[in-house]
Amino acid sequence: MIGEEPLLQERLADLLSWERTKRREKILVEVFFYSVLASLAALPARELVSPWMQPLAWPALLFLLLAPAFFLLRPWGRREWLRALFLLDKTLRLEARAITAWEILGRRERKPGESLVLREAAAGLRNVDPKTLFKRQCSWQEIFALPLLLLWLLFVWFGAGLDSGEAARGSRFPSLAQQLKGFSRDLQDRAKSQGLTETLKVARGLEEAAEKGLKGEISEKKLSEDLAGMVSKIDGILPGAKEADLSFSGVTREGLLDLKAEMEAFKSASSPRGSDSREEKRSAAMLAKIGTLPRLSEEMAKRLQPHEEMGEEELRSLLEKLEKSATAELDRRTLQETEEFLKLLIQGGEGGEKGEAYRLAEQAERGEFSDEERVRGKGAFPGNQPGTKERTPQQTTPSTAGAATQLKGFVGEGKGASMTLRRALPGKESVVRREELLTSYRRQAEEDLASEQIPEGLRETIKRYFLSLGVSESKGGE
Amino acid sequence: MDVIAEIQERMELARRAFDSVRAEMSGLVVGHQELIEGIFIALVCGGHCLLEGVPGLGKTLIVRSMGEVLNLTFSRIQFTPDLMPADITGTNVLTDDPTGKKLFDFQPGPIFAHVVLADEINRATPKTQSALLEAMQEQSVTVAGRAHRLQSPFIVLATQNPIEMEGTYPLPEAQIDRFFFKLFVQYPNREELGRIADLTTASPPPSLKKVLDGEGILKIREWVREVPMAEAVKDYAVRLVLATHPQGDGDGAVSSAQRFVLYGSSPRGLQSLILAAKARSLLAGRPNVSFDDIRAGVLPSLRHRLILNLEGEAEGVTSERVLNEIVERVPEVL
Repeated sequence: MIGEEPLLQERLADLLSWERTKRREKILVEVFFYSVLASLAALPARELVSPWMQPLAWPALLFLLLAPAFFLLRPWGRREWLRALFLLDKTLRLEARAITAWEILGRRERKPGESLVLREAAAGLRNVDPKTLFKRQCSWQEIFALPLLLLWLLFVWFGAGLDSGEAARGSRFPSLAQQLKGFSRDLQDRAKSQGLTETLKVARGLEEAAEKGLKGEISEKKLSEDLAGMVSKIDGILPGAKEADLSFSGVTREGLLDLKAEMEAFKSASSPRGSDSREEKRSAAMLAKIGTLPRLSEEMAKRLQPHEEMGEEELRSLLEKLEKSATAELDRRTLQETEEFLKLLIQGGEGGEKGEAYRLAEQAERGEFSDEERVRGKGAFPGNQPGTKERTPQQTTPSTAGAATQLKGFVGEGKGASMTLRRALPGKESVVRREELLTSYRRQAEEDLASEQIPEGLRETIKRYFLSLGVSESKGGE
Repeated sequence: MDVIAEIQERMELARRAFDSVRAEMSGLVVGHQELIEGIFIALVCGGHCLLEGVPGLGKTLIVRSMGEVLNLTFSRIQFTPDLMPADITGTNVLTDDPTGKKLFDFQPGPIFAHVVLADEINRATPKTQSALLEAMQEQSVTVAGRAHRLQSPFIVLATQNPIEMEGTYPLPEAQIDRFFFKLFVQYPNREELGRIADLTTASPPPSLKKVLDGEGILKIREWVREVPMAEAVKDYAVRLVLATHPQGDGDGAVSSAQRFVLYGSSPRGLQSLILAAKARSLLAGRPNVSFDDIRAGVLPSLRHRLILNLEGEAEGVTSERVLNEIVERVPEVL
């Protein structure tokens, strides 16, 4: 059997240790509660916080900051153990024996009456287990901590509908990095499908920068600075970009795309070099084929003198040159558009009126563009919004008999940007020639094939189908 | 003998003595248990009591019976405006010795008793009052340059009539402070009145047995001072006393004390509070002072030490009300 004093010491030490543990836990729960609460309160101001501090990390960071401060401000001391002992006395109705005994135990000298206090206190505490006597009690912070945490996660998960005013307006649009990523993806698709090497390089650079921004490795400000650097880089590329050997002034982007599509069709349909037939016959067949392709024949006509005769090799060389020049011109124009878009994006990121790109994007969502704005084409997202491209009057003129008109937007299931329609003259057949229509379809098909919407296995089949249309036509013609 | 056994025996003796006093007195005095307990505690603590109550409630009977039960000498002094200090302390009278030589012989006054009942103390002049209060404090009287030691144990039980204040000399605060306790003599209830009627109008009152003596009381007085008290309990008593002061702030601030009290308790109030708590625990058979012991002594120890301000008096606030609020507000441990 343990003596009175050791037993008393053990019991009181157990009690104080247990109370201390409970207090620590309580402080930690309180710190946790206040960390989540503060994070929740600060959520609307998350735009002001550095991007490397993700909202999900806020409670943890605050917890790490507050916990030492709480423990420092509320240390375990005389007051705490006194309260614990008082509570023990009150619960067991020891009439201050535990408090008195604890003090007596701390002294070396004992007065006669004190031994009796120790004995009676020991008798009262002999069968006491502090953990069962003083169970953990839930404070209101403990009760509300979990719901608060869930609320916090909910707000973070759903992008926090807590924002107000400007912040709320800003949150409805994707961040600079997100916009840039979307744009760079589209740009890469276009560059790949159209064989635009310089554009592809720039698009990859933009995607890389966007990824950094999304991962929080760089701030929005730094991203804007990087974009400004990218604009300078494009400026540097543009004068040095492969200038088209042949001029395409007055040719629209669609015209260039049509031209490329026709040349592709021509290459697929024409006989290979050194085939059996005679050279004169082969060049004549090539010219005949070119004659069926309106855009190509138009461009060839510009570059050939009337009644100029060309051999097969000269013809092929001219066609190759024409194709390279068209591609370089497309590359150059795409880079220009990219530069314009980046400038708009940088303006948006730097604040001011929250950026023209944001405003236009918002208007585009609501369909609030004025006719003037549509004509000016101030949209920030080429291809998806009122274009950044200069448009020819032909594109916007109302449909008149025999004139071409272009309908922008989605056509059928594909992602074609436009379709050229021409109204028939009264009492006559349509003036849109079959070849022209086929070329348009082919170009559209080429673009769709480059997109990710058509399964890989079906791409070749679709390509062969459209090519066969042109070939059968030419064969039928012969 | 084992120390613990000795302590236990002491506690048992004290408890039994007190129980016997109460039991013996209950044969003659109806009710007034708190009053008897208060007087006994003051006696074993070496203090004096100020009793306040209307005439005819048995004050004199209680005091006389107490003296009888405790086997102590008893004297009663009826205070009147013409009472002189010498009427209390005694005086030198000229006498002849056996050789015929004239000499002064000291004739002790009624103060020379163990239990002194100073009836209606506020009817005597301040000069006479102060003579009594000096004797209470010093436990001796000085007559013609010679100090005469009073008997021990010595207790003065002074009474005041709260309703007849005409022609009285209210005790100054400094003198009131010398009383260990101020006790109220309550009017008996219906049942008690019935028993009083039976006791006093039928057979002659029973004679009281002597259950204790002066020596026993002095021993208990020593034991009282040896009762252990934790620092936390002492701190509670200190905070209670501090809370009676209007300047109290922080944890000890009590609004009614700040508003209605002009002067709070003196350190004598704290001494009284702690000693009474020790005595209470000993008489209850407990080896240490508890927070309840302190609380139980607040009203008798401090009620006469609080001086209310004009606002308090105008609003009819009593010191009991202020003290009850203090007990309610001041926490046992901080």
